Formats: sequence, structure tokens, C-alpha cells
Amino acid sequence: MRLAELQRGLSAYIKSDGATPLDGVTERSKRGLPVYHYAYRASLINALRDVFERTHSWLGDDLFDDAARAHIEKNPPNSWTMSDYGLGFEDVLTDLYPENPEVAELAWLDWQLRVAFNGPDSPSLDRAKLAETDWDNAQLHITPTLTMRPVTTNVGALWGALEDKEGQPPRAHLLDVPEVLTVWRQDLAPRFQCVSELEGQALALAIAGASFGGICSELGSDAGDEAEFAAFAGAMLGRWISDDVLIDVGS
Amino acid sequence: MIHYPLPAFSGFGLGMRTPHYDAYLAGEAPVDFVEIISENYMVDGGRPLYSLDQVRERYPVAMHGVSMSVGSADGLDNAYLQRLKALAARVQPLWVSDHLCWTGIDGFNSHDLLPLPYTEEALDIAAANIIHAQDFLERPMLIENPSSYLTFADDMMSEWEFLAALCERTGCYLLLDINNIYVSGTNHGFDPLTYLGAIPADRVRQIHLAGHSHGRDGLLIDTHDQPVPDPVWALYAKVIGRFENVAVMIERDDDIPPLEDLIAEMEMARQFSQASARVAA
Repeated sequence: MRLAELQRGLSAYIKSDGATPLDGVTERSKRGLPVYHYAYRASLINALRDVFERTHSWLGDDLFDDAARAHIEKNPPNSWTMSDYGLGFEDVLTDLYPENPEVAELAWLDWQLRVAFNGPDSPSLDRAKLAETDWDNAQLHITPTLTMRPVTTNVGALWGALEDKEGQPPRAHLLDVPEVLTVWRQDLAPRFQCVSELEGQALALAIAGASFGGICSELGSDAGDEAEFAAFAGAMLGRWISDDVLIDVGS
Repeated sequence: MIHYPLPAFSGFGLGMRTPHYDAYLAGEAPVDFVEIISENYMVDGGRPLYSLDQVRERYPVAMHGVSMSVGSADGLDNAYLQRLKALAARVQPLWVSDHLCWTGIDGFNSHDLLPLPYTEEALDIAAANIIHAQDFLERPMLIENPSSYLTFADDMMSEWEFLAALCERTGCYLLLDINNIYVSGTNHGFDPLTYLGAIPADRVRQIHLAGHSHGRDGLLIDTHDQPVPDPVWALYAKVIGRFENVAVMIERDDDIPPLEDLIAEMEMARQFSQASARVAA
């Protein structure tokens, strides 16, 4: 048997239900086939449990492992690194729990915190430049580890409460006003924060290359009270600086 | 084929595992070298690379991979090799190793170390892949013998003959895992001493010592989650005299005990080696 044929056969066996024996192995070693069949799923489930720690805590062992098996069935791994294997798990959870959006939102947060943990390094903001900055025209450079998505549930509170494995987490509930969940890395530590939709729009504009003045013009006109918006924008910029979301300002 | 020389390194070390990072970062772990899992550091940035840089200032580092897939019929992934090469440039390791195995085909990656049939075709393919890897990385590879639970009807040679032929054809070096030889020997019915006696000793640069578990149907399973068991120690004690100037390491991948326990195992490895040297003298 050619090597490629043998490798396709063993790959198919590993991904299958294991009921059909594999050609080309010795009679004595047929007892070893289930070892590979079992190890494939076990290692992937363990990897998912590691990355999606809070999602695992929220669902419990049985439901989480069922979801992991659904992911394995739907999305066999195709990357050289196991670190990529969480991609798409959130979508599987969305399909499995359409009435419980907090599950997929927790998974998104778990996943993005891991992505930020290993994400690209960036320089720290030179705060000495800030006093000289022409804020009307200054382009804002946002840390490359920042990512965000709209959320509809109290996922931030859930994630924080699940750190205490012995404690009782709060009930999941829908937010009165949708928020934007942001994830980034400050120095070496991944962080997250729920912000308003308006701040989410400001971040999106900054990432797209808008100047601070441009962001204020774009969003301020819709926000109504000019003084109120100026105060909001100033506070937002202050947090971006203190949280290392802003890594540089340039003309 | 380009021959890449590889100076020997003699010492005793451990695989660097997360629960013991603080000791390595502080330079307090009494080891001669550490081994890292390459893929854990083939990332863009953040704490893994920051920590690795600190550790590298304190210890020699060997890079051990699990994803090269040198036995793949559809060749190696150059994007993977590029990442590995960049990490090696950063670490300046003692060497770069991976396993005699394949992990997938046609884009599928099982993330397991799957066994090769020991045939002329597989030898041709593995040799070509190793030569490609060495030329891409511009450094020699160490190839480690895996544990296995399967043998193939088409096998034409033993695993030790296959490894010796790979060394001959590619100029690669070897990382011998004594536990894996014991596990595969038990599972497939060969004598580990025959295996170890036939390995070209001058190509061996590193030795792994580890533990295993007992599975169904009399199979031993390479779990690396146990202390080194007596039969593996006995095998090591019998053969360590064959291998001069090698790096010996305790490899524990799961159920990680306190660092002191692993240091004690490492010291036992050192004592067996010293005893063997005294007998030889």
C-alpha cells in the first residue's frame, strides 16, 4: 500500500466512529487502533477545555464535552498548531444554544483572551508626546491585540464570577442596552471591558485610521449635547491612554 | 546533501513546564539545560516569548517539536518551518528536534504522533522531508523515536534499521526516548536491548526518560504522566555507557509533580550515568 493511501486510511479511521477496521495493519496490532481513535478526541477536548475554561465552568463537563465533540465532528483540525483549534467553537455553541446567547459570548471572550495573550507585541505610548499633540488632527494608533464585538448579555460579569469555581455565578440575563465587549493585552496581561456602543464606534473609527478630531466630528453630531459628548470623549481618551489601548499618536 | 555539524552537549535537564516557570525564570532550577515544546513559543508575542527570553539568559535551551510531521506523504508545511526558523534564530538552541511520525495528510492534522510503516517508500519520503527541513532551517535535526501501538503489514525493516538509515541518508541526529523504546518493545514484541544496540551511538545527542501507563489488552500507553518506572531505569542503566556526551532529560508532560520530584529523578539519571562511567573506567 502506498504511504499516502495508508495515511488517508488511518486519518479517515481516526475521524470516523471507529467501527470499520483499517486495512494494512498487522493482526497483532489491531488492538492498538482504538488508542489512536481515543487519543485524537481526548487531546482536542482537553485543548478546548484549557482555552475555554470559563465556558467549560458555565456548561459543566458533560455539556461542554458534547459541544467539543460537535466541534470536532464539524471542524476537524487543519492547522499545525493546536492553538488555532478554538476557531469556530463559538459558532458551534451559537447553533447548540440559540436561546442562551451568553454561552457563545463567554466562548468568544475565552477565545479572544487567549488570542490576546499570544498576540503581537507593541510599543508603549510615549506619554511625553501627549502634551505636544494636535488632537484635532492626531491619528490614534490602537494596540494590535484589541478586538471587540457587540454583546447582548451580562457576559463580563459571568466571566468574572466564574473565576471562583466554588462560588455561585450570577444568572445570565439580557442587557437592557447592548454593549460592546473589548479585549486587548496590557503589557503581558490580557484584559477585557464592556463599553458603550458609542465607544465601540469610536474604537472602530480609530482602528480604521480616523483622527481624534474626525472621530469627534463623526460621532459628536449624532450624540446631541456637544458639551456632554466632549466630556465623554475626553474620559474615553483618558482610559485608552491609562489602559494601554492607545499605543501611539501621530499626525 | 549538506552535512550540518552539531557539537555534543553533555548534561542533565528537564522539560520546562508551566507550574515550574518561576524557578526557571529565577534561575533557581538546578539543571544543565531545559527543553521547550517549540510550538508553545511559535507565537507572535506576549508572555510566552517574554518568559522564554528570560529563561534563555539563564539556561541552554533545546527545542522539541511535535508538529513537523516528517513522515507526511504530502511533504512539510513551509509556513510552519518559517515560524520554527524564526524561533530558533531567537533562542539559539542546543538543537531542534521532532518525532519520527506523521500528524496528518490533505490538510487534516490529528495532533497525534502517528506511526509510519517501515518501508522503502516511507524511508524515501521521510529522508526527503528531513533534508528539506534541515536545509530550510540551516541546522541539523534530531529525530526522536515515538511510542507506537500499530505495526503495518508492509513493514520491511525494524524501527532501529529505519532510524539508522535516516541518519545515513540525511545526516540527522537522534533523540532516543528510552521509555518509548520500552513501550513499543512491549507492544510489538521486540527486545529493547536489540534496538538500543543497533542504534548508531555517534548520532545520539539527547535521551528522554519518562513514564507510561497500562492500557487495555496488555498495551503500554506512552502517557508521560508517571515517574520513570523501574524497567525504564534498568534499560537506561544498561545502555547509557554506549552514549557519550549526551543530554539526558526527564520528560513529564502531564500530572506534573513538584519540581523537586523531577530534580530527584534527574539526579537518579545522573547517578546511573556516573556509575556506568566508573565501571567503564
